[in-house]
Amino acid sequence: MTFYDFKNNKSFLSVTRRINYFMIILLVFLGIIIMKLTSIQILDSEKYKIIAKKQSQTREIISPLRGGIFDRNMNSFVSNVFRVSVIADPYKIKNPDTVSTVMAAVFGKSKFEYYDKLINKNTSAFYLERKVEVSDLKGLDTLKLEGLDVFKESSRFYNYGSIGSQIIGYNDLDNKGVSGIELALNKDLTGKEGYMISRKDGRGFKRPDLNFVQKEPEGGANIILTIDKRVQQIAEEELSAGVKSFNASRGKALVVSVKTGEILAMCNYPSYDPNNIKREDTSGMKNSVISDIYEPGSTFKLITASAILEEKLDNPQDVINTENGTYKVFGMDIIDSYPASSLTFQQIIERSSNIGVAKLSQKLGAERFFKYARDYGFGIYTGIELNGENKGYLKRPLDFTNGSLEFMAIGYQVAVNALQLTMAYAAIANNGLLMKPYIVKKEVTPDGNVILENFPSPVRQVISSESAKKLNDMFIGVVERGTGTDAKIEGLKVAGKTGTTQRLVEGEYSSSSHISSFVGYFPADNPEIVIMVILDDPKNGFYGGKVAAPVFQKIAIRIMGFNDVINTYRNESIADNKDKPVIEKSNPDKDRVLPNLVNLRVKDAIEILNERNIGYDLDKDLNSKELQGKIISVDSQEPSSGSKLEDGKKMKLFIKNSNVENSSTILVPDVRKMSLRKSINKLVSEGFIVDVNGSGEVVDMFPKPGNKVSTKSKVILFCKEEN
Amino acid sequence: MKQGTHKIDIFILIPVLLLIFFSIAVVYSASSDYSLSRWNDASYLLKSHIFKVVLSLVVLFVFIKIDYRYVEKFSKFIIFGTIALLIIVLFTSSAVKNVNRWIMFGPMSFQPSDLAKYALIIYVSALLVRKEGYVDNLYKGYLPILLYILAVCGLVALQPNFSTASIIFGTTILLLLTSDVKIKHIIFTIVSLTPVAVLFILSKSYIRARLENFAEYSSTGTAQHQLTQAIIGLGNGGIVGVGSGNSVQKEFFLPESYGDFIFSILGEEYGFIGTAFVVAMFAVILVRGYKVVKNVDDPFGKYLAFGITTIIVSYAIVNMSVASGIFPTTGVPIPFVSFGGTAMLFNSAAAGILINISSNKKQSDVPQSVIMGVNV
Repeated sequence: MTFYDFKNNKSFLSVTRRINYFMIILLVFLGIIIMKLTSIQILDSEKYKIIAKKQSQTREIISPLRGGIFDRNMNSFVSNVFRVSVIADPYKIKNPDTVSTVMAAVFGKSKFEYYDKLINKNTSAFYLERKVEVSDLKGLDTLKLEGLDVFKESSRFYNYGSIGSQIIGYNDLDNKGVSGIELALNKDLTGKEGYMISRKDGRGFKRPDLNFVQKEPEGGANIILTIDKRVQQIAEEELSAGVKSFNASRGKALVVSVKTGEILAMCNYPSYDPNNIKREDTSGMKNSVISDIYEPGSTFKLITASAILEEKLDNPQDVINTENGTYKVFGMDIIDSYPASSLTFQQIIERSSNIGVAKLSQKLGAERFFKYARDYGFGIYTGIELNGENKGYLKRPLDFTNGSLEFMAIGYQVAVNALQLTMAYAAIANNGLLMKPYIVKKEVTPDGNVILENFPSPVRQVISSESAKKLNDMFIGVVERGTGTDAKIEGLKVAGKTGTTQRLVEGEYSSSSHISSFVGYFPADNPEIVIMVILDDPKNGFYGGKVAAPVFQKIAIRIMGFNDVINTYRNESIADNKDKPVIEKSNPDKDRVLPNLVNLRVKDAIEILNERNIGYDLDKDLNSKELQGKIISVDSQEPSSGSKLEDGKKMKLFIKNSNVENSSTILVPDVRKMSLRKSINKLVSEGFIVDVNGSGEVVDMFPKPGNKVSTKSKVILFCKEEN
Repeated sequence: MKQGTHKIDIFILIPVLLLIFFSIAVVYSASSDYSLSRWNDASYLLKSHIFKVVLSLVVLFVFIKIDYRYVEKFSKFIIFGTIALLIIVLFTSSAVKNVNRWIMFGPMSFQPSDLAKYALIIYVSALLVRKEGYVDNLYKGYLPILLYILAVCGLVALQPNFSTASIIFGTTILLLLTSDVKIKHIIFTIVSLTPVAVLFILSKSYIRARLENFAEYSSTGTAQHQLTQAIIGLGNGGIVGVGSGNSVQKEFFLPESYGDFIFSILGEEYGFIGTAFVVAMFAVILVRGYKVVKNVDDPFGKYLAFGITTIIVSYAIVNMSVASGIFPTTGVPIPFVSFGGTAMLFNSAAAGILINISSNKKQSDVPQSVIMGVNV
């Protein structure tokens, strides 16, 4: 029997049976489908559910608002501002030409800059723009372009620009601290992230998933510093002026409250503008006060002096042979700037005699010298909250070589940071009690909980108050009649010590390059404030008493008025003195850096100024008929952005009416939902150039309707695809 | 004329109606996000779909009422009209994705291949009746019929729409097998056409790519984006589904979710219960449709009922197989369920004809001559 009889066609299966077979075959196919569906939908369902969830749900971090940084009078050093970032995924961008045109229109760069990046399909998503200040997004954020994620990110604006910038520090693009307080207290400033569960669609567009409660972020703590912004600013101004007038290369200044150890100002010159970070020039970013060490020179003589007094090795009647200016120690010369045949202890300090101090140190011996130096905190971290402190170098007696004692006594072969030295002088001013310096007064959460509060904390009694009193008298003498007379302030008793160090240049002490310093405190009878000034490599003069002392004096005079804050005692006699320095009660906002308002809409500009408490004048009446119903923006401003506004003055804004003055700008008409042909006709007749995506009805456009653009601008139409 | 009996087969009508009503919910769900993003109106495509559903229901009931034998009268007109349209579409239509399948017909886009499949079935059925007695004759019977089949399938394949051409060709071959056409001729036809089909496949890169993708999926389990997403959708549905309107995959993960891959969204929202229901509905249409074939005495009705049933079910099988990864990806809609231009209209008309045929089953009492007299 054959399967098919070609001769007798009809004998092969009746038509009815064939139909039955066809039916069975088709039913088998349907059965296979059911089996496959069973496998996918029942057996493997869990696997696919996980995949579906993974690709459609995302946990979006909600960044907390970063904490503020304030000075002791609650002047705010920082503001949080929002800047625009754009992430592009070249793989998902269908029309790089359009996207780059849009980007160019919003960010004002060349279209090709974007285009070249976008046509590279091999890269994954990247930042096309990061944290850019954009005054007008022109609807970019509402224009849903596949593959383009436009969002706002919080970043810092530093209200006072360079003032205190090395203390405050700055943040990286992720708003994480890079230096200063921003770095040291980054964790507390950051706060706790919140999150929300978002639904993500296949194009990457997100929206909140209402099935989940969003976790609110916890804002970062507000940091209140011991810094007094006014003192900081004065110290910076005077330091800068001093560096310039003595033609020095760098300078440091430090103002500390004697009794508490609070740092009121900490400055370095040069400085930098944290609102305009230049990666190629980092010279001004370093906080040299704590991170640079130097040989202190004569200011270190306080160790020997303290030890001699405390160990009672002095006899006021004793006269020390000062060798007429030159004294050989183990073959090395110690030279005095003011040669004398013999001097008393008091005179040695007042005239800063190297030979005298070297001889006194020999009385002490290495062990006792080291003990006092260590007790004052040299060679040990002060424990200041900022990062990058260099603890310096204090040789141990075991390591002393011939001459070490004598040279260390006059401030060589020892390295200190400016804060250590300042605190040592503050200890003498504070009756011999060394205080721990601190710069963070308080940390307060946004809802008012104090999470940290620092109080004055003594480290140790280095010398007795009697010894401190005697030393104090010597330091008064330095200013009254010794090397530091340029620090003298009329009506205020000042004590201090000068220092002039030859700088080590290529391994040898240079006779032409110096570090000039002065550290002093006042009022000497009941000291409140200690100020340290150090100038590096001054070219016009080099003695500490001639270069650093005048800067000290200028700072001291200007801050004396702040008795409301610093409790500075002022000599009664000066109260009646007509020549007393007049320090105005400062308005915290008077000297804020002015923002750039040009081209902003007037309404927005006014809002910004009100926020920052800056007074302003407009050159035209906003309610005048001429401007009614017009879009007006700021044409120019006085003073310009970045500069400071003098007290009592107002900012002047010059208004332009875009409609009138710039007749070539036109309003983008709404052509959405129009047919392509109709919309092109309309746009072309109004002077636009049209770029079309798709072929059907117009569903979206860029710029969005209502935006003002110049004639001959390109308008991009997004049309429905026909499928 | 008088119909033998007015009892229509409601077991064909009911599945068709259920599928059509089901499509409204599924199309809305699958198209709303796309519509919202494209036209700022979530129901933009739904409105268009409902318009076609209403039209389809009208067409369905009109054809249930009209005696199917009128169709035979117009069969020649229909087939030549179709061939003309297929030629026109090759040259004039607006190309969507470089494929010439559409003709704009007022507000509706019209796909001639939707008409072509039925036009060919109607005409081949008519030819088989007309040539009764000599269809086994190669020159007088078989070749003229084959000519029409090749013309229509060839034109559809050239659009290019190889899958539709294949389904139409397959269905008409099955149709021929239910007649007295010599199996020898059919086997010879298939054998000689196979190299042509292979050459065609090789010449079209998109078909090759789809086959390669499918081969890769079959061997490694990793598929190209659309199929992966379709299967994720089905799997995400589980047994009972995520619920109406809750599909995740429709949110731009699954491209064209409201069209050829709507079965995946259906499976996601209504689960295995939903997909099995749809499979079952087509199984019912298949069984009841073939029952009509067996019960109708009129040969034209027989052929026509067979052709209509087979092509509707074949489309459904191909579509569901593609969405679940059994067949390589191809753009074939699922009858009555997919959002479609004119496919739903023609499918409804065909279903109407099938149901009308079912009402004529007991016709042994009607003299054949009377029927023929009406139709000749």
